[in-house]
Amino acid sequence: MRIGIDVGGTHTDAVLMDGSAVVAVAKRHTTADVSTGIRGALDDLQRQRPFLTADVDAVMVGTTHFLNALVEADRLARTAAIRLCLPATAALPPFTEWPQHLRDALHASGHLLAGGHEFTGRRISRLDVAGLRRIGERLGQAGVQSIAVSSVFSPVNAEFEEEAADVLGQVLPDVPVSLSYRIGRIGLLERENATIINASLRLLAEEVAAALHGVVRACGITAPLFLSQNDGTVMDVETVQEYPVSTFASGPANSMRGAAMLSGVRDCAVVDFGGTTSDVGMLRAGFPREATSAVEVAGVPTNFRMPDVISIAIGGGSLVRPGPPVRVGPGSVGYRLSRRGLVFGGDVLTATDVAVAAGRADIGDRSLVRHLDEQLVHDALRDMASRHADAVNSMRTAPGEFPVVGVGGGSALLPERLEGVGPVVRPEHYAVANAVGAAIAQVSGEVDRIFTIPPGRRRQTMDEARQEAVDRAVAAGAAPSSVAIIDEDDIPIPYLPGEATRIRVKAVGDLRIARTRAPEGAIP
Amino acid sequence: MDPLTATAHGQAVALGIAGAADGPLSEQLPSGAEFPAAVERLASLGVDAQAVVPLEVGGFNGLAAVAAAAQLSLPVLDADLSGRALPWLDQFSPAYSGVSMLPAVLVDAHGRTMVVGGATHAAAVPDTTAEAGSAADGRYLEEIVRAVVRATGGWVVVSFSVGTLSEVADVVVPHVLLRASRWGRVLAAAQSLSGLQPYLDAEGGRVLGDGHVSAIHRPGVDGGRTGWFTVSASGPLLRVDMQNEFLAVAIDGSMACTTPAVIGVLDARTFLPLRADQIRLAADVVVIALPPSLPRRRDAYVERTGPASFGLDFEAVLP
Amino acid sequence: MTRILTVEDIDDIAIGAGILGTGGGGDPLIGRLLVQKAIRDGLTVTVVHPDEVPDEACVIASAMMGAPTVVVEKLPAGEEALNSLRALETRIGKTADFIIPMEIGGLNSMIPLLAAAQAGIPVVDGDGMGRAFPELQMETFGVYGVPGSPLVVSDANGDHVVVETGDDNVRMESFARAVTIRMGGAAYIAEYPMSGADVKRTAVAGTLGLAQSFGAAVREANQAHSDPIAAIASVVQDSIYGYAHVIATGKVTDVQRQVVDGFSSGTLKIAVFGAEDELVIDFRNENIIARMVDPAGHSEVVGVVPDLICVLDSDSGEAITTESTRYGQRVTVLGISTPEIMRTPEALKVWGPRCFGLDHDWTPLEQLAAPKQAAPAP
Repeated sequence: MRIGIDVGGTHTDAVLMDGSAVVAVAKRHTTADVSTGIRGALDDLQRQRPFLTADVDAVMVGTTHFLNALVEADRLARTAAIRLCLPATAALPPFTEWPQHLRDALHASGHLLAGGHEFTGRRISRLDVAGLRRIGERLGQAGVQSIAVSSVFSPVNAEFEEEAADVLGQVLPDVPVSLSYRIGRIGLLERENATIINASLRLLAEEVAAALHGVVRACGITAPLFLSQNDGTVMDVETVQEYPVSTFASGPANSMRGAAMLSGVRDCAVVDFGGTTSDVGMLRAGFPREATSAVEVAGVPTNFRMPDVISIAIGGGSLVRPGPPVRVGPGSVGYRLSRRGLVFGGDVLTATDVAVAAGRADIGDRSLVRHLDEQLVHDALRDMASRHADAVNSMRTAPGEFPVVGVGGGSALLPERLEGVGPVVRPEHYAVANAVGAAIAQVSGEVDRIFTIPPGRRRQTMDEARQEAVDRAVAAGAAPSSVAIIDEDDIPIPYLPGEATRIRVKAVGDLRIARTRAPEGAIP
Repeated sequence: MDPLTATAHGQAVALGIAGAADGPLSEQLPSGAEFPAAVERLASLGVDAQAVVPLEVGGFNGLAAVAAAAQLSLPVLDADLSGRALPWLDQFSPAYSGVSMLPAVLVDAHGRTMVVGGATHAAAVPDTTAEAGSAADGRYLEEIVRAVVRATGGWVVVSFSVGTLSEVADVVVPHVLLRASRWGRVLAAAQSLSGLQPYLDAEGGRVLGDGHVSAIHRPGVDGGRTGWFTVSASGPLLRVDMQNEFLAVAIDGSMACTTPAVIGVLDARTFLPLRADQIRLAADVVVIALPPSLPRRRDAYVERTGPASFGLDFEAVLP
Repeated sequence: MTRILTVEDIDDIAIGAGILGTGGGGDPLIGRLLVQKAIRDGLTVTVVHPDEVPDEACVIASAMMGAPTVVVEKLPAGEEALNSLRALETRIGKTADFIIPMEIGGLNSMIPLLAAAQAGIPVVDGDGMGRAFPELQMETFGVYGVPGSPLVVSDANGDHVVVETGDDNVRMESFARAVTIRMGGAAYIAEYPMSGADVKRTAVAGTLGLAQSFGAAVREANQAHSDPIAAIASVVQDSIYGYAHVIATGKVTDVQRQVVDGFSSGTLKIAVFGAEDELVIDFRNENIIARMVDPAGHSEVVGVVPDLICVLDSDSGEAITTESTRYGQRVTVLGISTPEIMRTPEALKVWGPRCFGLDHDWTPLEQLAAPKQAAPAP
């Protein structure tokens, strides 16, 4: 059995799953310390369907904790960025385009040193080891708590980043070092930004890992603990302490993967209908389609792989404007719905009130919305339906009908069909799809770098890249027999000789469940 | 002009042609204007050319520089930058003598010019010596030249200053031109192996063996940069490693002689030297070795031009 | 009229330059950041119209050469383009009075602005390509008799190479390309030293302003929730390009890429909305030909180089490069005709369809029937 937990901004959801069956569901308010909410949800699961803690194979947690820390510029480490590059790249130093408040929160300092490689893997200049030591000593005196290291074309050759980690480890043994080649892809500024974000979250990651570990162990569960990543796969909690950044936007992927599992539909649109917004994404072969453009996180440009999701400002708490024409949103009462909505005795007409009046949902006191004008209710539902249809249509990749899976608390507001799209499926347990998505997550391995392909060796090179991705998935904890390539892409690079090609391969497999339990207290 | 006693004012200018010597150059002959154009362009960069020095005495470039000197009415130094023939510019003596090859002027068969200039590369490499800087410049020039030759599919004249004449003795490999001319006369006149022997003895050289070529593995086959051929007769088996030049000779499996020694493969009938690309199966050949001509920086020379510089995994063995 | 560009103007130019990149030219992003940083650091980017350049002035063209993919990783040290300018000035024994962009499409809209700001001289509002093209001989300057060389290539190490190929601009391109590859795949050039009179005679005038107008139109349309593509088309009508129409709106259904002779070549297929037809676009770094294919397999050319075939994001109106095209994108393909100076017999000899390996003569966009299902631009 597995436990999936989703720690959202307002709710902490948990599910207990036996194979692909959801056997218990819990929903609690999220608490400031995170652990209390999780503890309550785990206790609820135990009450609903008593289980032996020894029967739990794995606990998977999706959390927005790291993202919130970044957005709020709070609890971040004093972080320095060292770029190995000179004489190249000096024109745009680290922290270019960062919002000032975040730079302040990090006590940001950027440093440039000789190093880096050309696309062919040859050195731009040799690593300035003496300079690196000097900077390390200065940073130590300045009280820097975490360091991000980037080097030009490190996805092609990582030797300097590794060497820099060794040198810094000697000078500052207690300061964690994050290396860019392990975190991002080609595109120095975006990869460096992701690495800096990662570095700034490392201290918090240790705390969160300890807290999660503590609460799960306090419930008597000794199974391994994993965190959901942005792409819907998971990472073990020890690794998360080194790479918190890869887990910080797991929500959309989890809800979409959960929707696929719960509905049994693997190619569809997914609408995650929440309290203030509704997120629309596409599933292909059970995996979320990824965004192709750069992603800005808290105002910082990055090149993370994230699901391609569009948000529309319609949620259960959205205000309904009587018009004409009748419009739902973009204003919302948000989490105050349970006080301000008409069905809860409040004075604001919300999308939820409309749904209750139309008999789509049974929440609060139905008599409080009986007076609503039928035409108004009809028009409001129509507005929501047509805007969802537009959103789904804009994500469409092929003509013809396809199903739409609705999840999230607000999905009751969706009609039975979206005009011009197809039927709406609302699976059982739709309200906890996020936690289900976390519970069923797999592990992945990825390769993304420039390969120089000798003539006539394109196929061998692709095979090598595939093998490397598979190896990485297995190293991350996948059962070797289950690993499959789910995505690959090779883009030749113009103006360069030697068939320089950027190859991207992603492999995914089922989590290898070790029946032997980790000894008590083995995880920090 | 003897480089060891040169005292005239002005600078020595290295001249030569880089590119695939056998193919394009033998079809697309130089117009004759390339060398003067190169020297003229160097003059505009402040180089006061008062003598010419060949890039390499071996092969085409030894004579090309002599011809250029005559054209320019300048003396030619009895010297070169390699002591033999070498494939890469960064193996040439300025690269380990602290003398930058930059700026360099390249001229192609149509008189089109490129000036390779810039800061010395020592600036980009912290905490190193002038020698390291000149080596980096040499490598950089080599790569630019190689890229241009590949792009144009032909050859280019390469020229640069090797410094003032009064200091040139520290940089060049002396007395190679007269040595070449001496050996040219000896080989042209040779009637038998025994006739060569006194000249070999005089320079400390020797005959490594003779026989017919019994197997050839050309460079580039199977992706290897170097190739080899074997010579067998009644005596011991010789194996000669080669690239564009002959690099090493093993006799019955033990290393007898390696670059930078001068390894000559002679036609057994005429005693005229063969190039690596002229080696044919069943040809009758004589393999001889002569000690290298050495610059003042002997150790650096042997290191830069020894077997390891060609990716061969053994120590230098000199006669 | 002399104008000083603001940080916001640079945003607009970057968007417009992406559109004029017609699929290639590289993402202007890094260039935009460089120029905006220079402006914030107190440097000034001044733009003048070609008519204001004195006949005897010395004007030098500036650009990045090589693979934009390298630039996103190996960012510039900062003064490469300026170093090239300085070395070229030394070579010709004159000081540049103005800089002119070599190529308005893509990243190269930005590099000259940076060089000019650093040199403290104005930029001419115009360029040598009127769009993006893959090679250095494909410039109006050369088409109308200005020799491209001497040309200087510089890299981040402060190295530079001077290429002197007389009036052989094709050989200049191959020499400079070889050096660029050695310099790591991206380098910065100064070339086509010319007089103010040459600029007036040979440059595609007003293209920097056009890029800025495109960007402003897109931005304003997005703010007003109106159609950005119609806004672009109406800017075209008031420019020397003169004519534009929507070739098709649809969804990307296939992208095939390969490298041929150093070019990123390939084919992009778009399922046209509201029709059974498929729009097939061939690209060679830039989009070079668009054909409408009906279900019976009958194909008809609906746009061909040098006319601009611009693949735009249907919602935002921003350009989508051939490298970032992905299955499923919703796109609008806008055809923009070329100005007179780019469609003379001399010009077509340098960048007509046959120069890109197409077995076609050029037919002007405005003579190609707009497909029935595509509404003509206002």
